[in-house]
Amino acid sequence: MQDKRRKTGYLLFLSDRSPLIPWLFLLPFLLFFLIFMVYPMIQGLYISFTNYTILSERMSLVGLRNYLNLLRPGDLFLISLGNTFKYVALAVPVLLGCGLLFAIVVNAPIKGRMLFRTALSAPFVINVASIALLWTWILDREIGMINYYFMKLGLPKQEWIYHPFSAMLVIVMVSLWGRLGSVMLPFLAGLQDIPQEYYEAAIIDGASKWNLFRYITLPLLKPILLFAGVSQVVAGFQIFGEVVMITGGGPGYSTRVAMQHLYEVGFSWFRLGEAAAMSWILFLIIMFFTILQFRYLSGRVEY
Amino acid sequence: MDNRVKYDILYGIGFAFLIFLAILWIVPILWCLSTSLKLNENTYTYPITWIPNPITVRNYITVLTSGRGANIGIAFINSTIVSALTILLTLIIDSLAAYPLARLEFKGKPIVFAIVVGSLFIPIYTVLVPRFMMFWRASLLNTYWCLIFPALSSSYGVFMLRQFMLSIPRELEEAALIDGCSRFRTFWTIIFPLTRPALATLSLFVFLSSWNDFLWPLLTLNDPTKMTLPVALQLFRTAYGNWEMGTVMAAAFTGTAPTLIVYFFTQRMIVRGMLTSGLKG
Repeated sequence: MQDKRRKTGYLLFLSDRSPLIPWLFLLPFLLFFLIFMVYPMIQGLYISFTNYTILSERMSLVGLRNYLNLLRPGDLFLISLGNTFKYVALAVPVLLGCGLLFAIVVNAPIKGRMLFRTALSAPFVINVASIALLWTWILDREIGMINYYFMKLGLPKQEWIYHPFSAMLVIVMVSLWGRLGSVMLPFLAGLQDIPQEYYEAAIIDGASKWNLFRYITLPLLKPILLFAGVSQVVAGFQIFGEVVMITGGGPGYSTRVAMQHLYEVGFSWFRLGEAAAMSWILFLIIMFFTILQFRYLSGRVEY
Repeated sequence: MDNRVKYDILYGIGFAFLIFLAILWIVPILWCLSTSLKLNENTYTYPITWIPNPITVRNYITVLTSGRGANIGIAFINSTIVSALTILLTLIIDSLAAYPLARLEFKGKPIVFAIVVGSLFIPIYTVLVPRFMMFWRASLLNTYWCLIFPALSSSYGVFMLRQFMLSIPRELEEAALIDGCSRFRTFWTIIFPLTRPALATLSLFVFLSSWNDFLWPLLTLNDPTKMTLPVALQLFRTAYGNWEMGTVMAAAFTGTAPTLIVYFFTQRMIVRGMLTSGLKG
């Protein structure tokens, strides 16, 4: 007993008032954070100004050449980036809209609402590879379930992933299915957090349903809208697995996205300098949209 | 009276719509399960059958033991080990780091906290290339560590646990300090146990993200015996044709069964966790 106490006393030779104590607590985390987050970010920026490839161990500075090459009109990167923008512009508003709408519906006092919540949100815990295997099977042109029921209903067989237009829709649809939970659940949590008295008071004052939504629900959900908006835009620009495993970026280049292009340039062709430049362009784009959303959606909410 | 009827009709329509939506969302999962329990030759018959006849688990046995394409059984074990280690280490490291940010006053705290919050918004691809080079140079590709170490640099847990620790009453801790407990002991015997609900939620989030991670493992693992499930599933698919969808769906379902089961039992916790993770900052 005596011994044990002395030992702890010895190990913590620093007195409790020592300014080093907080840093000792932080040390393990900061170590990983510096090595695997801060250092790679800085190094990535440096690599983006070099012609580094993994095969030849040489690395020389080439200035802005990687960036200028990427932004040359007609470069595959710009095509992929354009598709990514198209995807984000389609998927994010749909996700936010459906997420909010479904959250309101499953928050209503209805029978079995827990069941509905589970059903609508469950796919968001499924890994992207399983999602892709599942949906390529369902959307198969010849033996897929959806075309089977289309035929039963007398509708024409759809090309799905074999047509440039529907291929993009498939990616949007699959991400809506798979990501709905990650938007709906925060909205649901936010709805449950709104004091019921607000609604009661407004109803006494004769407010309509729409006004309740417009002047109470929506403003109070603003922080969550911001959170969901930012995280979905960030996630949208990073879309990768769904595309690579369902359409492979095709047909042609119609669904090729930025992340896929980065992956191939960097890790199939090993042009790492170029890949790093790409990642910084993407980073700047995301930063821009994040700041934009903070500008328009932030602001204190008083309860 | 009239209003009452109108309300009932609206309620009915809304309810029907909701049932329709729920079915739409759950059908793909049921279809995956149903296909996986069919004999392969029964998966493309006309018309479609929903209840397999006969019901068979042969596909699951193939998936877990055959190793054709990729060994899903081994991948399952790999995923379990990686997730478990990541959760364990994250809980220790992040709660240690969260404590001074919630409770102690020190020079540099605002800066550390600002960096922690700021890095929440860093997309993974900004560090993809250099991280890959790091692990490649250190010959750590195709190991568990190349998946675990980067996960430990995420500041999400630190942020979330700090928010939670702020809500723990100071009195409990002060009593211990007055009794002569060291800072570390106070943390370990008082704060850490009280943080349990947040730790549970964090474990869940870490579990989901490490089990489902696709891009980074795809980059760093090319040895089939080291692959985690999503990467193994991708490789697995390349070895199977369209006439073997029963087996493919069994693999897909194996890959996601643990997350779905965990989700069914912890759903409330996840919703609550999304709130405490400081949406309201």
